[in-house]
Amino acid sequence: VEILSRAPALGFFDGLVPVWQGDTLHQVRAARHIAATGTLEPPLIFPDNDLPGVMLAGGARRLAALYAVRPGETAVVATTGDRGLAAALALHAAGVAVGAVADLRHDAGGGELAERVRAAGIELLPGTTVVRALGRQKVTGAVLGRVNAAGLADPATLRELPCDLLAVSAGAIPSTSLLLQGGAKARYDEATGRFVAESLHEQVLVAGEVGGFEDADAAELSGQVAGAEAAIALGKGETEARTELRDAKARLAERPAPSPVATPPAYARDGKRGGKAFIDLDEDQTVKDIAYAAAEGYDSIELSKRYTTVTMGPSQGRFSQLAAIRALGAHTGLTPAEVGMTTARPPWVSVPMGALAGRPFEPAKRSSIHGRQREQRAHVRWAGDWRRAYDYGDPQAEALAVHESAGVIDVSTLGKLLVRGPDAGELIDRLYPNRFSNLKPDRVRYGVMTSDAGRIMDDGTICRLDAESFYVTTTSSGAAAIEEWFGWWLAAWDLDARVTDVTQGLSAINLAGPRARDILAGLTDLDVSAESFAYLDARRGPVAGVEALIMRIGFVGEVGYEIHFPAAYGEHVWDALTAAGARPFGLEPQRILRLQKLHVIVGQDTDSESTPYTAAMPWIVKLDKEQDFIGRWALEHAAERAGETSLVGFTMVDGHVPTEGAVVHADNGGPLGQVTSSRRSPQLGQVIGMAWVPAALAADGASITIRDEGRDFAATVTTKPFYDPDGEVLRS
Amino acid sequence: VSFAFLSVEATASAGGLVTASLDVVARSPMERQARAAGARFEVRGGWNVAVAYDGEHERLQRSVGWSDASHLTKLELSGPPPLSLGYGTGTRTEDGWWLPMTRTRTLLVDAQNGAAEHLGAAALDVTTAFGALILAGPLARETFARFTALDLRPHVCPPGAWRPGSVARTPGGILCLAEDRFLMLFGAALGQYVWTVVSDAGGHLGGGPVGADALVREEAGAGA
Repeated sequence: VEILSRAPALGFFDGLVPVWQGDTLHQVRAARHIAATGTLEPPLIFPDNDLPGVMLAGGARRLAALYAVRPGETAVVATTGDRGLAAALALHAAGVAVGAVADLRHDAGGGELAERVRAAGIELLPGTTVVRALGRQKVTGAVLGRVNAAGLADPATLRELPCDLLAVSAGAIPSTSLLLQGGAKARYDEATGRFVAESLHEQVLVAGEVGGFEDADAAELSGQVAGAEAAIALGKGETEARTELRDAKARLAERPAPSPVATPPAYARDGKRGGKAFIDLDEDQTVKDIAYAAAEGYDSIELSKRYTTVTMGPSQGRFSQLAAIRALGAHTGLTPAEVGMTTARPPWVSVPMGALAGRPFEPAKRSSIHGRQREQRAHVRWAGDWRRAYDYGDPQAEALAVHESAGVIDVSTLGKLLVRGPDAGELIDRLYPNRFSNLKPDRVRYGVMTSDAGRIMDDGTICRLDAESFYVTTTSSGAAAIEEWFGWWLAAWDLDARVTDVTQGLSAINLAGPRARDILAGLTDLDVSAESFAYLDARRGPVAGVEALIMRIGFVGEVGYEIHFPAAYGEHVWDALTAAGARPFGLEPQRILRLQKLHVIVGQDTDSESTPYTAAMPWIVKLDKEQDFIGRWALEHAAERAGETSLVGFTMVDGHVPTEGAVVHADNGGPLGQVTSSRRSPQLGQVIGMAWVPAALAADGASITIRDEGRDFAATVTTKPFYDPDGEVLRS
Repeated sequence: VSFAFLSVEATASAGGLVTASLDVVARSPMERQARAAGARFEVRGGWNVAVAYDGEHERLQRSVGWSDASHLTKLELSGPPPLSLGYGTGTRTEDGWWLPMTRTRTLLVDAQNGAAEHLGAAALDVTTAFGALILAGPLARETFARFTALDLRPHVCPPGAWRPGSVARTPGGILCLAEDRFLMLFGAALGQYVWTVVSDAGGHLGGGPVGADALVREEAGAGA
């Protein structure tokens, strides 16, 4: 069974049901459709019913029961059925003081819910409704009273109750639009005071509240009945379906009848002057506007609708149509059945024009090695606007292979900029807090880019190619923004430098592991010995016959080479490396490996407030640099003051892998920081992570408590890399 | 300084010989899609080029054909261009098509041998940074209309017109090479995506991929 979630049906076109899901418009043609479209809860109509604090009882109940949000401190509930009673109980349970429940039914339904309301100590006022909301900018109270058939209150029954929440419910209207579009007839049901659909299209069945099955058990049984009837109609599983149908029908018949509801008057009021009674909150249409329309002779709902625009707003009459019909009836002397409903038209929900008429475009970037990685059973996920290999089925084993032998990961997604010109070094020195103008040719240096406010924006490596040329890499997600950043400042400073974005033109592969050097040596004429090709050196030369730039860097903590070359040779170089024994690894093992080295991922381990100082990288800032640079002023201030929090590593005491984002908290339960990364390290046999903690706790051996999934877990702080803390492996 | 690591030409002319392997062939970002569509390939100038498909002639005559032209050499020039260029206009010289991107950034597409040398350090080989498709045939404009808002009507986009802009919601540009013939440039990493978009749009019009040789034949035929 294919489930389309977040996918509303837009209409019913003679058997065709368009279903909108994101950028896709599914066109469903089925032999049988089952509509389970539910009901809508309309508001009550009374003076000043638009004051903030007046809300639907169903909304108040949902906030309280589902989201643990108290929509007010003191509530009054006005209802015509059990929905209001249920809302009152939910509000009471959430700690809202419920002053009273005005139930228009003379016996308040006479059922269990009414008893529970009373048992909760809530005053229940049968035969009563709300006739005015009090307050100017917000609700401060409600006036309740008994009303006659025209909605006018008996002055002797009026009561004022203070409240800041007035929850109202005028029952439940079946969402019949799709059924009516399919040719069903609308009939006004005097017993419930609402329109129901009958004479359904032969291909349509109903289930749930739209079919009058109110409680959850009945709704579920009605779904079984509809499903079995559909299956039988299609000739599927006939014996089983008939048995199920018989059983479900029998059980459905045993369900209690829907709870009674009262029909509210068109306009309940206390008879005093002032206060607008809104029928259509979308279109600002009041009872008075409907009265004008009736006086002008617009006695049909279709004409009145066009005259007043009632029901023509964004909600398309979902909440206003029945009230408008009652109001028009009250002013014309017609019954609701005689007034009738407006024509149901698609779309049932608002839908972008693009979903109806346009082609769905989802630009996805793929490296030139992508196809080969798919053949190698890579699990691919979105990473920014790239499709990337997340793992190849066993991330732990892939990570171990990098430690024990050699691995390759496609890092073509890194941003890549070529910065050339006499002022290229000056430009980079002004953009980064680190110093690069003294970088020697064929050497590489790590760089963190900061904003004007000294906050970390991006990171990457800068390789000097010659006196006037630098090769800059950025994070994958930051590539476009950093290229723009370079461009803006280059224009502002008018330096003699040129920036060329070669991100998509070059593939990049990181070869890492104890065998990496041997593998590379077998594919190039370059001298790759540790003496000739040291850590943070760069070399240019052929790899597997392809001209490449090779940088010896180590994001994953082992001896590593980042090989950059024309993207058109992606598969060729990848194949050569894997054929020589390097095992492909994906993003997930890379994250394990880099975490062991406490290498940050900008945007995951840092946020908009992180500076190089708080992120434990003070060495990256060269305040003694001759050039002014972006963020200098802010970083000078940051250097003078200890940050309140610091980014540290931690190990879990009991092996639990905390959720990224879990809270680091104090003994008294207050939040102190949060986990940014966490993984189980197969190499270390431990669960490790990174977290922001108070600066006072940023010390080796400090104990912290992490609250995750409602439980507390102990962890121990470390400030040095978990693996190869002194970088001996990396530099070997 | 050597920027050989940017260039297919550098590998094709030298690096590829290091291992003497015929496998050192440059491949378009759309090669897999072209192969799946039935392309026949030949290695030309170090690139594996889709040269022919079945039924391609009819597509070009009656509908629309698209041909992978990612192998065309592309140079990026920084600074003022060496010749006067009009905004929105491509200029053809013996060096290739000059396409102004900004006042100080120009693409030289289909750059001919020797162009890089005489342009010197200002030129950078960005061939592999761009994917390229040539769309040709009487329904080429109709095909474009289905995935770009760029106005390609004949009276506003005559031969030589160059329209940088959004193509299928990605940065790109379209050059009108001749009546009913267009060169579309886009980021190389988007090759598979763009091929899918063009196939979807053109396929509904009876179009399909065509080889590089079919375009040459068609052009020669039109010239005759």
